[in-house]
Amino acid sequence: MSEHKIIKGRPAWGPVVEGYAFVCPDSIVGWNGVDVKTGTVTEKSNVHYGDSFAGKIIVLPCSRGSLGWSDMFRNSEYNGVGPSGYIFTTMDSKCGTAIFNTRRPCVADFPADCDPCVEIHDGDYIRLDGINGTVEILVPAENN
Amino acid sequence: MVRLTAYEQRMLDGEFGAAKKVALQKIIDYAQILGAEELVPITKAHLCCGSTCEPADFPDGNLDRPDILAMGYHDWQTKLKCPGLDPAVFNSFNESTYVMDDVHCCDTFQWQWTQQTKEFYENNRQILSDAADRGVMIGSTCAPYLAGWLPVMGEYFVTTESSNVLYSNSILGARGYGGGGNTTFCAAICGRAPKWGLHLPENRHGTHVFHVACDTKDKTDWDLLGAAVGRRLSPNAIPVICGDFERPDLIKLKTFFTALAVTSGCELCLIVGVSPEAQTYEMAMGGHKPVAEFTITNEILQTYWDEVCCKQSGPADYLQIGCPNCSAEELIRIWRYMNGRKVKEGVRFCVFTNIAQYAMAEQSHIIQDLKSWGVEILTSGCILRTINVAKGAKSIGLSSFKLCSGSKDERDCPIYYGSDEQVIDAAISGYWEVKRRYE
Repeated sequence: MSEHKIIKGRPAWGPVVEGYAFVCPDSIVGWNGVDVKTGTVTEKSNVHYGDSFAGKIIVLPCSRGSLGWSDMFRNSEYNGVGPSGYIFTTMDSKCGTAIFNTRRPCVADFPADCDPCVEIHDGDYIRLDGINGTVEILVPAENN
Repeated sequence: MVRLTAYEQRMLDGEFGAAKKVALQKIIDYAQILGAEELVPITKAHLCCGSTCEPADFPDGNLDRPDILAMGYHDWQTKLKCPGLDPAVFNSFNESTYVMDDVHCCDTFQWQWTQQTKEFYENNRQILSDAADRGVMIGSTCAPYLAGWLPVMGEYFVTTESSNVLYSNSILGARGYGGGGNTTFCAAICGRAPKWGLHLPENRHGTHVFHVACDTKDKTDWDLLGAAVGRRLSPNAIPVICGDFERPDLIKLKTFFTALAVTSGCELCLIVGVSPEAQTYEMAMGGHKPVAEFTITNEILQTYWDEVCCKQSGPADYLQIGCPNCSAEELIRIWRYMNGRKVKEGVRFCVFTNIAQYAMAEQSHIIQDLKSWGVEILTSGCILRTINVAKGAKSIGLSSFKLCSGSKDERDCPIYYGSDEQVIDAAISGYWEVKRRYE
């Protein structure tokens, strides 16, 4: 039995990945919210403005804005600076297309009483299991 | 596990060609990602076909990546959007799907005013011609419903335009979701999409109720209302708009949906008395209780005006109307308001529309008149899409919350926000007089 905190959603795409969480509680605006050459958030009002999600596990409530949203992640992936995994509070069609494009592990559709944008903190080291639909917080950010 | 019909299984077995086989397999993957168990036939598709490139590709005004565009439509679009599909076997989109193209980075008729090169323009024309060879109707617009792309109530559609998702679901009663370029491309090739989300009647009821207690007379009111509603929505929420509002027309609705889309992930909005699935409040809610209720006042609208509009009056040298692309009716309104007045020398003022509206306005001498008054009429894009169109601008005046919000992120010069009439006044005077919209 793991002693780590585990939350469970729907397994959307496998397999499994570990990494640091990059939590954007207000999502990121589509089309021009990211510099796809560096994976850096360029939306000035975003909590992660100026930060790069390259190699991290991104945690988002949903998509937002233009249907170019998924293209941001496709092109970040092609440039080698995309997230290594995706966690969505609720799956939507743009989030689905981002996974379709990148084929990175993904867990989505968490129960109403479990918001991953609250349960997971920026900088937590987590294990995303896209086969079984679990997210395990291995090392909380405060211990990093 | 996705259940296929006998026809879909034959497609997956390759009976209808390699392109459909590959595209269908990818749509089945998409269904798994979304959690869908069946597919639906897609009879209307709207997708980007021309030169769509990210702003990051143009940090210094370079017009395109030669390595990508040199590949042409066959290699570039196909390999980018449907990896694994041999471009040589992709000769046609699905025959029973009406496909129209979305906006791209070029004007339809010229490259000079938008500060692009002839080579870039001609390359884009070739890409569009290649798409047309595969059965795409070249409309090049974010508002295809203005050009006859009209899914009817209950019809399944796909689109790459977020405001079009909202318009088609909310006003036409059609059933669809956006997704993005790759999934829409594959759906248009095989004519299938996952049966999921807003395809299902049980998902098409209101969740968040908005009581309108603000001005709703002007297009700008609806633009700001869209932002106010969008910012208050949780994932996959469906807002219900009710209260004492003035009945919106097509111009106000498409403006409202554009701001709503950019501030949320919303794809269906039920406007009581306007949406076919919301002729009454009870009908909109479908027996469900609201998850949350909000009242939108002028004070709230003012906060969104404050968010995007520069507070200091000053010179304005780039002005634009047309987000989404202007309807022919809007072109007439602009023509009437200008009434022979000319754009100030040194000021660049453009109006974005689509090819169909342009053709009608040209037959009505509106295009000729506006051009003679110094207005450039452009097709397809906008300040965010049409690469270089606002290059060198010292300040920018727009009538779209979406464009102001996006431009603020891309540029450091002052951005002004106001009504179409304010944009026109600034184009004529060369000066933007900042006035608080609501008192």
